[in-house]
Parts: sequence; structure tokens; C-alpha cells
Amino acid sequence: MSVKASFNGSYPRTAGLARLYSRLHSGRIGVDAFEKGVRAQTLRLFKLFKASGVTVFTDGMLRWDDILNPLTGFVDGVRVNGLVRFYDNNFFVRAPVVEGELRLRSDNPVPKWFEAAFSLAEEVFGGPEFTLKQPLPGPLTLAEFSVNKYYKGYWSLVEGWREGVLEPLIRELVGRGLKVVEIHEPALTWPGTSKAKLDGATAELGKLIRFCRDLGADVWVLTYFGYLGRVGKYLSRINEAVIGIDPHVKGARKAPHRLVKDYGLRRVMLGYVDARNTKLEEGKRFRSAVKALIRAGAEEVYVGNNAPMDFLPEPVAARKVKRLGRLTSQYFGGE
Amino acid sequence: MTWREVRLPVLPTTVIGSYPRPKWLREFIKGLKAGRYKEKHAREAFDDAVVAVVRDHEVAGIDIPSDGEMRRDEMVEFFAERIEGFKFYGPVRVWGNHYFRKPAVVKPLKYKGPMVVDEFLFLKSVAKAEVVKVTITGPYTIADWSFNEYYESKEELAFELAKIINREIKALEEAGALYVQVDEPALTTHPDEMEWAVQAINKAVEGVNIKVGLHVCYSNYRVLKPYYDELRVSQFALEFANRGFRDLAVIKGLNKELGFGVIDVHNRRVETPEEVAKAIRKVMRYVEPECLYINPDCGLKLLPRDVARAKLKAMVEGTKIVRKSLAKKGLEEIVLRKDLTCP
Repeated sequence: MSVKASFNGSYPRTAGLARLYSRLHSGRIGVDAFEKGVRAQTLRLFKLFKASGVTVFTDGMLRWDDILNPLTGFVDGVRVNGLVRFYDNNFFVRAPVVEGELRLRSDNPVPKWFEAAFSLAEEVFGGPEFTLKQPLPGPLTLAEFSVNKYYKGYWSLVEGWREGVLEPLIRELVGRGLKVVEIHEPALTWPGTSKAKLDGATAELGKLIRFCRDLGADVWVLTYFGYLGRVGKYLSRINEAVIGIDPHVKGARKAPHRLVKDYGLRRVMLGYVDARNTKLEEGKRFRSAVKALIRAGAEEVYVGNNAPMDFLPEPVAARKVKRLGRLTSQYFGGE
Repeated sequence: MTWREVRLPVLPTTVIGSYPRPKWLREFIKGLKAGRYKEKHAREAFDDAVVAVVRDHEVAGIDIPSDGEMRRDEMVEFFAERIEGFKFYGPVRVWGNHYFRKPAVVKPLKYKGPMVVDEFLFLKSVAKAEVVKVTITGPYTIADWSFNEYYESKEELAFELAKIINREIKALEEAGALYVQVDEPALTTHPDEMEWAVQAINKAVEGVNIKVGLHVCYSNYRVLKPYYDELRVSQFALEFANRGFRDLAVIKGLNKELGFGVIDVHNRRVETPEEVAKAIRKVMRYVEPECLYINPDCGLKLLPRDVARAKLKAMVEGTKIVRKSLAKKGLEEIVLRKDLTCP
């Protein structure tokens, strides 16, 4: 069985890219110069992936401020509001205030960005030996961050995000060549999310997964910051997808391989690389953690970062990506 | 230095701490980093900037000014640079395109000597107000916003930091400070750590005999509520404008002073004095006016300076509207308190 290294979610903007954004916002450079800079930074990132042996990856979400923005700014019915803490991090997102029916706007740039990133990945990899995933926020996470002033009930809001925004966006992305949708659902495992919500949330995710599959796209559901065992009995509804497990959460009662065994997970992304600590990962533990997953019955295993890498300084993120690729190839390169 | 009674107008107005750096100072700092200016000129430049900030505060009518944290790039970075044991790998995003240099703890921490006492002494020398506010980042937030590569646990790290912060607050007290604000924006972010986080803060203020406020912002205050009594500070300075003054009921039962955030620091729209007055009247359903200070939600440093100045002015004008009605009831002054309870 092959074990692949995967880069998930966001990669930190380099100091140079952050400067480009500042210059664009203050009018010191135009859109063309900015686009040229973003292209160069994306190329640099893809070259890092290639050199590290990471063949499953995202575009690093270099154009995103966080997992919600700018997407929510391109949705009718939404006013983007004040800053809200992103779980237990010193990182803040702008929360959407839902004031009308949720509907994805036709000028949303995500498909265009995906297409541009795909061409760059082809340029770097020189062929089809890569998988470019598109990260998107999950319906539960979107609903949990929303200030709902329109929908009568919570589940109408969740459904509004799924049907009005995510599904049309995924349809358009698949039309432009997307094969893997990476759904970020930290809300699913966050201790603050009531257990009552898990039932409905996994049902909604199940619908989204089926929608993607009908279009011919695979789905990953990434959870982080919280213990996946909370979702326990509902996991069978979503285990067609690759499920992301964050092994660095505190208070986890079961190790990742126990989750695989007890809940029948077949497809797993083990977030061995800690995106919230600068300490580099150890090799021996890496090998035994992955082997344990395989022994527990996982049929498809990816190893990657447990959460978006925005929480790290860019030079450390680069070192961690290299380490991820090297460890995967060293221990599982021939399998 | 002994504590003394200082009288303040009812609903004293103050700031949380940071203030926009004047444009010329930002240019100077760039030049300093690029080697165009010499280090010996920095002191003069920062001092001049503090004078400008205090002047802005005074013109706006602020009762308790700060130095705007002119000498600090960022609230954790500043202290990490002055405590032995930290290392910097590079900037980390906080939101949008805003970053801070998140430090990593790579060896045992050690207090190297006073970090903000000079800031206080200069501020006191240029401010007309008898009481000024000195801010200091709390042990829990420094621990939470650092990478821990050395200590066994975050708890162990936080308690090491608490000892260091305690020495610094005592040094401030010794230098004559009357009012220190411990900034703990991270406090409620890990509810399961609250028990020991509160003890770490209490350790940091142990044996301190001046007024200590605690600033917590952009947080779930329901997590804080069970610890109102336990925290050994005299005031909570909390953010409410950003959340549209929702959740005010969470301060019901607060037995300390409230520093009430009435100005949204992440929005350039300047509040009207009437909006400020309305918010103050609303909070007075829960807090006695004798126990109420008025401040922005958080530091103002991310705003353009003219907007920050206008917001402070609106805050003071709005406060004056409410003071007029309180004066009719005979309430015009309060005393600066260091007590752990209010009233």
C-alpha cells in the first residue's frame, strides 16, 4: 500500500507576498504587478513540494485571508463583519453576517484561481503526477461562524451554505478540472460544538460528499484542534471521504489507529506534522504511527499537516514540508 | 512608594494601551532598521512620539492616558525580546495581512531586568494626569502565543513567566506606578486551561499593592465568568463594541470594576457621542457607575491616527453626556481603587 505525503490547507504567506498585499491595498502597485508576484510565490511553493516529494497538495491558499475569506465576500446575502477568534488560536477571521438568502456570486474568483494554480503545477511537475486539491470551508464550520439574521432555523442556515454556496462552487470547480475537494470542518471536532449538532452536521456532510462523488470528485474531510472520537458513531456517514485526524489534540482518549479500528475508517490523512509548533517532527514516531494505522485497517493513508500552516513562520513551514516529504519517502517510499 | 488616594471624574475615560505610531516615527523605524539612523537617536524619537500621543489623549480629554506603546512593535514580541530564553523564527499571521513575530521558547527563561519601568517614568514625566496606565502582557498570553520547544507543558511555561511578570510589576510599583493593566487576550481560548491560567495570573500579581486591571478581548466571556471572584485584580477591561454590545448580561454579578469597551478598534467608522452614551446607559443596568471606566475595545494602533483621535474624542464626548445625568444625582467623582471588589 502506498503512503503519500499531503500538504493541506494554507501555507504561510512569505514576507515578500505580505508586502505585495500591503502595496496592492495602499495603491502602490497595480493588479498586474500583484498577479505577477502571486504567480511567482505559487511557483516557488510548488517547486518546494516537488523537491520535497509532496505530490498531493493545495495551492497554499496564498490568496485567502483565512478559511472563510474572501469566499464569503462573494456570496449574496452576506455582509462580512468584525473579527472573531479562530478557535483557540491567536488568529482571527472575519465572520459572515447572513442577512439574506445565501447564493454564490458569479464573480467569485475561486475557480479562476484554481485553474491558474493547476497550470502552474503542471508547469512545475511537467505532467499529471500530482493532485491539486481545493480547500473549502465545510457547511458546519461556515454556519458556526455565521451571525444568522435571515434563516429561521440553524439547519436551514447549514443547508443554505451547502446548497447555495458550496455545491455551485464545487460544480464550477469540477468543470475546470478539480478532482479532489478538501473540506475543512474544525467545527465538527471542536469541544464547543454540541453533540446534538454532530448528527445533523454529518448528515449534511454526507449529502455534500455524495454530491461531489456524483460529479466525479473525491472528498477529504479535515478535522483539527479537537478529538475525532467525539464524532464516533456518526463517522460511518462520511467515511467514504478521506478523513483527517489531528493526533496533536489534547485529551484524545484514543490514538489515531484506535479510531481507525473502532470506527471502520478506511481512508485517512494523519496530521502528523504539527502546524502549531515550531519543533520538527521525529522520524521514528512517524513510522510507527503510520504503521499502526495500516495494521488497524486503513486502506489508503496520507500523512500531512494537521491544520492550516498559517500558524507557523514561513521558514519553519518550509522545513516541515521538507521533513514531511523526506520522512514519507524514507519510510514508505517503496511500499 | 505608598498608595495614595486619587480622585477621578465618574466614568473615568482611559485607553487600553496601544495607539497609532505617528507617520514620521514609522519612517524613522524603517530607517533605523535599514541603518540610516543610529541607535542613539532612537530614544529621542520614541520619547517625542510619546509626547505626541499623550498630547492626543489629553486633547481628546482622556483622564488616564498611556504612552500608546510607542516603543513596542507587538505585545508579546516586546517582552520576549527582553526575557532570556526566547528565539524568533519569523512573522506569523494574526488576521488578514497582519503579522507578528511569534517567539519560540528554546531554553530556560530568565528575568534580565526591568522591561517597561523606563516607559512608565517617561510617560509620568510628560503627562499632566496624576494617574497613567502601564500595560504589561500577562503570563498566560505570552505562553499561549509562543511556541514551546523547551518546557514540559504550557502550564510550566506560564508559571515561569508569571514569576518574571511579577518582578516587573513590583518594579513598576517601586517606581511609583499606580495603575498597571495586565493584558490577557488569550485567557479564555482554552477553557480547559482556565483553572491554572487564573492561578498563573494571580501569581503574576501576588504581593502587588497598586491598582491592577485585567484586559481580555475578542473572547468568550462566559468562560471568564466563573472566575470573576478568583482573579485577584480590581478591574476587568472588556471589549463590547465589536460584538455590537451583545452578551452584556455576562457581566451580571461582576463584583469588580468594569473597563467598558465602547469603541470598535477594527472599524474606521467613528462612533457618535450619542452611540457611546447609549452603550454606557445600557451597561449601567448591570454595573454601578462608581465601578465603571470607559475605554475602547482594545488598542487603537491599527487605525489611522486621525481616526483614532476622533474615536477617542467621541468616546469622551459620549461619556460627558452620561456624566451630566449622573451629576444631577450628585455623582461626579470617584476614587482610584485597588480593591479586589467594587462597590
